[in-house]
Amino acid sequence: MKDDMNKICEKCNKFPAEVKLIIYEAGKKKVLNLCKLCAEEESLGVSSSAASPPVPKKEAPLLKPEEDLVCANCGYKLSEFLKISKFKCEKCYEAFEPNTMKIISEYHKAEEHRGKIYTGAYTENKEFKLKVLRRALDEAIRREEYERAARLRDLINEVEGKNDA
Amino acid sequence: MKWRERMMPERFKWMSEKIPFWLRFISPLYGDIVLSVRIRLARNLKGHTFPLFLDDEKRIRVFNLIKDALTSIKELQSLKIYEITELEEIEKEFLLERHLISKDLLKDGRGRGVCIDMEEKISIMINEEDHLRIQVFYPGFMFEEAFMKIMEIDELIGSTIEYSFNKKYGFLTSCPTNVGTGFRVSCLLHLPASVITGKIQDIINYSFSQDITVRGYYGEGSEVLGNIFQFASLRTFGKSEEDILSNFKTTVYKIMDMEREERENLMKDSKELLEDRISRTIGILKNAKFLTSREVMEYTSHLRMGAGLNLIDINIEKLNEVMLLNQPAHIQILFGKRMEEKERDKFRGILIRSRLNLS
Repeated sequence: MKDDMNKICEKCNKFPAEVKLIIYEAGKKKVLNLCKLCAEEESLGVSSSAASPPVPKKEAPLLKPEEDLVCANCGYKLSEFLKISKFKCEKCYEAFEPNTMKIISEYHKAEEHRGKIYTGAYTENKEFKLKVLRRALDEAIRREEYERAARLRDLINEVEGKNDA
Repeated sequence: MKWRERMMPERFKWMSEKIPFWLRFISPLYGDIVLSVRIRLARNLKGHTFPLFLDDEKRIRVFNLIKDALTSIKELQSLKIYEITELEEIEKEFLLERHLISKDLLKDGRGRGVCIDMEEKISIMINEEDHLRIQVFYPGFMFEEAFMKIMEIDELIGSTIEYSFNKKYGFLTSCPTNVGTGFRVSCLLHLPASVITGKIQDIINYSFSQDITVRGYYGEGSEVLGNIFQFASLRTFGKSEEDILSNFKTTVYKIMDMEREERENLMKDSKELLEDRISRTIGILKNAKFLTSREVMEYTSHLRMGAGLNLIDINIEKLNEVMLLNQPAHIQILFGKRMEEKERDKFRGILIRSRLNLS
């Protein structure tokens, strides 16, 4: 997987290569590692000049080591993100600011979220709670962490007890 | 016998014998052009690393957490959950052919899976690029139904497990191209007349101007088969789900009208040529000993347009069925037999003649 992730599109040399496109040219098989946009253009036979969607074609900024940022939550670096355009965890978004919003607004042509607002999980789904606790209990027993197992068992009894009441 | 044939897996036999909901109902007005509408939402769980960066152990943990959540939601209890590693190669191909999973879900390693309902309206991919890719599939004219369904599922899951969300960015996704709503709507459109007249280039340009991208039959990076194109909304951030949907719908209806106009032009200028092509197609389908899957896509395209123009009396529902069932993994599961390419091509001919009553 690591190998795939480091490849850069062979056509535009800018975006990460995510698609393997097989083309038959003059009876010969040719494999191209392309980014999503170039792959679309190739597979549709559309030339890039004719119909490119408006996507930032800026050079990925080369970071000096002192300009690099690190996500405190997962240790992922901005320089690594710029290579493959994938975040590692939810905290990377804030950690890489002001770069994050710049990248998002360049691609989406917008600067604020206008969709659904999520207010968090709210249901007291006992069955789910019990399933998660029981799985954790199995895990604790498997690892011979008996103190933890005992605590989990208490919790399970508590949740089940509430069930009876 | 040189070798004993391995047993065919039976797991998806039930599915192979029926046509999914999205192909069963034909739009009365646009059934010869639009095949289906799909909406997907990208969601991640709060506090967990995104799937691309998880090792097997952690990926399995996320998988189990999601499995526990899905199985404890009353409304989703009829759904079946499969871990990819428990499936055989042919079953993975089968699910790909059915558009229920993506190639990315088939990467090496454990802890990836899919959750499917009996009617194939819902498919939830677990640990693909994001922890959850919730998808719904509906017939091509049921935009509102598809929208309501996916919003309902999102509410059910999101109220049970905590999603990763931030007021500034919206729903957080592994790739910044999906952030915000995580919402993408797409349609499969059959545009043969536009391909013949070259109008397709204008259609593609027009789509891009409306923030809609064009792909092949199997989605991103795939080729166009049987003149079927996938149109998909491009941006996910800075617009509401309703606005993305309504813009998409307007554009798709416009494209369908453009195709309709090209068909009328063809009827005016070259009706005989169209009739000739349909007769030839019928001739080949009736008599060919071997048929490739690519040929079938091409020929069903001719017949589908012919049916739309009243040049031939053929049931579009049957054409949809054939288009689905003739794919390589489908043929093998349907006939309960592992086959090499040549043998598949032979059985494909048998299948088509019987389903389309062409003997």
